[in-house]
Amino acid sequence: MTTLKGCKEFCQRLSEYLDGEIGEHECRLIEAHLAECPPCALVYRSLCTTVEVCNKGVSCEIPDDVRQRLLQFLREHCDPGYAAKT
Amino acid sequence: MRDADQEDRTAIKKVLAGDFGAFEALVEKYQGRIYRHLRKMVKDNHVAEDLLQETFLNAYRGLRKFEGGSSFSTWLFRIATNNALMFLRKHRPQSIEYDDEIRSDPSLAFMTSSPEFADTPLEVLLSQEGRSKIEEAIEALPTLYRSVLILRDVEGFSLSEVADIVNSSVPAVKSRLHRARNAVRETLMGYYIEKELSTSRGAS
Ligand SMILES: [Zn+2]
Repeated sequence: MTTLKGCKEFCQRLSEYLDGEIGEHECRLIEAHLAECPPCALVYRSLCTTVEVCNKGVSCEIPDDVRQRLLQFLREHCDPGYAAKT
Repeated sequence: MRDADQEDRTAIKKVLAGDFGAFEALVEKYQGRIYRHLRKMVKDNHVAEDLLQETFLNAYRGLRKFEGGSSFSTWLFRIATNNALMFLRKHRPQSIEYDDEIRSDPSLAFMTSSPEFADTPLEVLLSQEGRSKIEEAIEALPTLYRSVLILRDVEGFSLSEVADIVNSSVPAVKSRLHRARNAVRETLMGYYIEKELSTSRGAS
């Protein structure tokens, strides 16, 4: 594997590449490498999958009792009539 | 300016003019995401609930100090993150001070991948079992890496917003994010390789 060093360096940049944080020149180098190096392309694909499942796989449901206690807590602790204060 | 930001600004004006209902609407809008963030930060539902209440109370009391230099959501997440970090510093200081390194499996030091994970269909990755694996993988991250990954990849804040929320620099956020994503990737990859192995073993 003569490209090992290169592959490692490419892999180090994939997270930034995915975020669109890489300059145009380097972007083109990365794209060319991904097109010709299946192992790195697989790393990139699995990184994209990781980001996608983190985005879609964590529920933001809030239990009803937690929601109700929050509202009750705020009604008790927040001074009503904000504008009148200070 | 994004529409959501404009909408929040209008609501804040109403709150400051004495309309508590407008504040309740903001709570309704953000409570799910803030609760999720806090649960992931402190990994304890009861503590997360206390911090949730504290966060919205802090927000209400500090609303006049909200300058609008950032979006309301960024500001709110900053309060929540600070509350979580304050709790952790006080009650679990080791989770912040000594556990701030990702301990990577040396065999994975050079990034590798296997097709099992990347080729698993999304409906399997996002099945109930798949989701619990994602949550576990995120929760296994050290606190400071976890917070950055949640804010960027779960919540979808931009890198500079994340830096603003965690009071850090963009390069520091990028480097933590890179390591956090790869740690989660490795964990999930390991899980799907195992799963594939046990399925093929069961089949033969
Ligand atoms: Zn390569």
